Amino acid sequence: MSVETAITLNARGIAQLSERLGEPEWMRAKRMAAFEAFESMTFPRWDRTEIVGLDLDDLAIYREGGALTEAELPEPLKSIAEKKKGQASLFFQVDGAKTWSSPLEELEAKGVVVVDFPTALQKYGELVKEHLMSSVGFDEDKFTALHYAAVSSGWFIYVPKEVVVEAPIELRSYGAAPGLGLFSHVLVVAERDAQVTIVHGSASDDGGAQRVVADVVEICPKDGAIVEFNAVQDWGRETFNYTVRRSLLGRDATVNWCTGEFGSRLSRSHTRSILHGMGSSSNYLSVYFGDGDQHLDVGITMLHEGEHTASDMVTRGILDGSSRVVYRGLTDIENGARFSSGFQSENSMILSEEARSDSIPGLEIDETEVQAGHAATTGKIDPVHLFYLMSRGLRRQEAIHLMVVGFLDTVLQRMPLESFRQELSSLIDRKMHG
Amino acid sequence: MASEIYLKIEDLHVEVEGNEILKGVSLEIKGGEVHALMGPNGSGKSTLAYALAGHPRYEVTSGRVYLNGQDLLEMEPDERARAGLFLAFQYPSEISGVTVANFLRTAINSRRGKDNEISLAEFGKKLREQMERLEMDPSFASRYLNEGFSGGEKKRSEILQMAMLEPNIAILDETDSGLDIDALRIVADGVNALRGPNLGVLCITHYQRILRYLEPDVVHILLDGRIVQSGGKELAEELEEKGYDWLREKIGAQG
Repeated sequence: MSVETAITLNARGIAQLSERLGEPEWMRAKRMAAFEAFESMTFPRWDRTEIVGLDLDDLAIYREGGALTEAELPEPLKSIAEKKKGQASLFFQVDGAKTWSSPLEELEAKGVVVVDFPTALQKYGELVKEHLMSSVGFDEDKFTALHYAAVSSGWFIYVPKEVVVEAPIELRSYGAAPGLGLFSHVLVVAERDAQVTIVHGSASDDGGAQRVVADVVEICPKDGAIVEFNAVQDWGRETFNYTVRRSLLGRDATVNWCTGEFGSRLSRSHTRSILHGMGSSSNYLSVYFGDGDQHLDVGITMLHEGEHTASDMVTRGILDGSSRVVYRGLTDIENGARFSSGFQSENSMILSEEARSDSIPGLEIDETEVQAGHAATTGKIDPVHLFYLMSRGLRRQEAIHLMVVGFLDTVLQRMPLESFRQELSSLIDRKMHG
Repeated sequence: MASEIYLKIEDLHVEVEGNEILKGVSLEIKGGEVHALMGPNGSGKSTLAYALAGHPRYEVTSGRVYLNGQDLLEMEPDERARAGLFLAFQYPSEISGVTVANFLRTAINSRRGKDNEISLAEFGKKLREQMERLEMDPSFASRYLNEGFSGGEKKRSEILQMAMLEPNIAILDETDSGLDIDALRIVADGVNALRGPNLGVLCITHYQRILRYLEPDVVHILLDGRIVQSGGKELAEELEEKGYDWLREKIGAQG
C-alpha cells in the first residue's frame, strides 16, 4: 500500500473516509458530529489507568483494501482458516478493509446476514441506523468519539426471529500494516428467540510502531434471544487498545460473554450488560494474563434494570513481569429490579515481585428483594503447593506452569465453546513460555 | 542395580526456625527393605521426612544423606524426586484445576525427560491398573488433585502417585493416620504390592497398627530427635504394649 492511499485523522480525512465508504447521509452526519466531539474532548482521566505515550497526530485511520485470497492471509489467520473452514462461518478483516470469508451454507439458508460494516451501511442502512449507538454513544469519551468518527471496519450480524445458528460465526480482525489505526464496529441484532454464537478475535503484528485501536461491540438481543459472545484480544505489544462491548437485553434475553485479555501495551477493555428486559440474564467468564510492562484495565458491569434479572461474573487472571492489571467489576441493581440476583468473583495470581494487581469489585444495590455477593482474592504461588509438586519431580517452572493453568482452568472449563477454550489455553501456554 | 539402591543418613541435624529438632539421626535403608520409624508426637518424625524431601523450612545444620551414592542434600526438591526419592505427605496439598491424571503424566515425564515421554496408551493402562489395585473409582483420575478428597482418598492418592512414579526410596509420613481399617488395609496392600529389590521404604508412624500389614524388617524408635533404639518388628509390638513412657524410663535408666 502506498502512503497516499492512507487517510489520516483530521476533518478532511473524515470527510474523505465517509465519501470513500459511500455511506448514507445520516451516517456521515453522525461521523462528523463524532469527530467534532473528539476534537473538543480531552483524554479521559481514568482512575489507576493513565494514558501515556499515546500519539494521535496524523494517525493513519484507513487504507484501501479489497478481497484477499486464503493464501494472502497473514500466518495466524491462515492457520485459523485451515483449522476451522467448514466448522464455523469465518469472516476475516486485515487492516480493516482487506477481507476474506468462508461462510457456511446455513447462514444464507436461514436468512442470517453477516456483512462488513461499510457494506451494512449501504445495504442494510435502516437496520443499522435503528441499532447503531443503541448502547454506546458517540460522546461518552474521547475514544468512543474517535471510534465513531473513524469507524470503517467491523461487521453487522442479523439473525432473524426464531433462527438458531448452529455453527459459530467467527470474526477476526488483524492488524498487519505498522502504524495503521483500527476502528471496527461489531453490531449484532438477534431478533426474538434467535440464537447465535459469535467469536470475535483481535490481534496484530505491530512491527515496532504504535497502533491505536478503538473498537465498539454492540449486541442487541430481542426478547428471548440468546447470544454467546466469545472475545479474545491478542493485540501486538505496541497497541493502545480501547474496546467497549455492550449489550442492551430484551425480555428473557441472554448474553453470555467469554473473554480473554492477553495482548497490547495498554488496554482498556470494558464490557457491560444492561439487563433491561424482565427475566433477562447475563454471564461473564473471563481470563487475563499480563506480563512484561503491560497495563490491562479490565472492566465488567452488570446493570440490572428489569425484574427477575440475573447476572454472574467470574474472572481469573495472571500477572507476571512488571505488568499491572486494574480489574473493575460492578454489579449494579437499580431500584425496581426486584427479585434479581448478581454475583461476581475475581481471583488473580501474581507470579513476580514487580507485578501489581488492583481489584475493585463493586456492588451497588438500590433494591431490597435481591440476592447479590462478591468475592475477590489476590495471591501468589503458594510455596507449600510448589514444594508438593516439586517433590514429585516437577521443575519449578513446570510446577508453576501447572498451577497457573489449573488456576485459570476452573474458569475455562465453564466456557461452552471448546475451540475457544483451546485458543485461550494455547495463548496461556505461549505466555507461560515467555 | 538392586544392590545400589539405598538411602544413607549420617548424623543428621535439622533446625526449624532456629530450634534443633533432629539431633543426630543415622539410618540406612537398602532396596528391598522396609523400615519403620516410630515415635511420639514432637519427636521429629515428620521433620526427618520433610528434611529429606528438601522442604525449605527445614534447615540441615550438619550431617550427610546419600541416595544411591548421590549427595541428596546438594539437590533441589525436584532433583531429589527425579533421583528416586518419594515422600507420601501426611497433609498433601490441594491443587485446584490440575487433574490427577494430568499431574501424574507431567511428573512421570519430568522424570523420564524430553523425547522419552510416556505414551498416552501406556500411561492410561498403568494408571488404570494402579487405581484398580487401590480400589479407586476411575473418575478419580479426572478430579482435581486432592481437592475435596476425603482423608482416606488423599492417602490413597499419595500411594497411587508412589506406584506411578516408581521411586527407589519411599518415605510414608503417617500415611496410616486417620484411616479406618479398610482404608488402612488397602493402603498397606498397595505398598506391599510395590515391594521389591528396587524399593526401600521408610514408614513413619505413631501406631503399630499399619506395621501388622507392612511387616517391617527394622523398627527404629525416635525420641527427642534421636534414634534411641532399633530392632525387629517385635520392638513395635512391645512399644505398643508398654507405651513410650516405658521406653523413656528405659532410656533414662540407661543414660
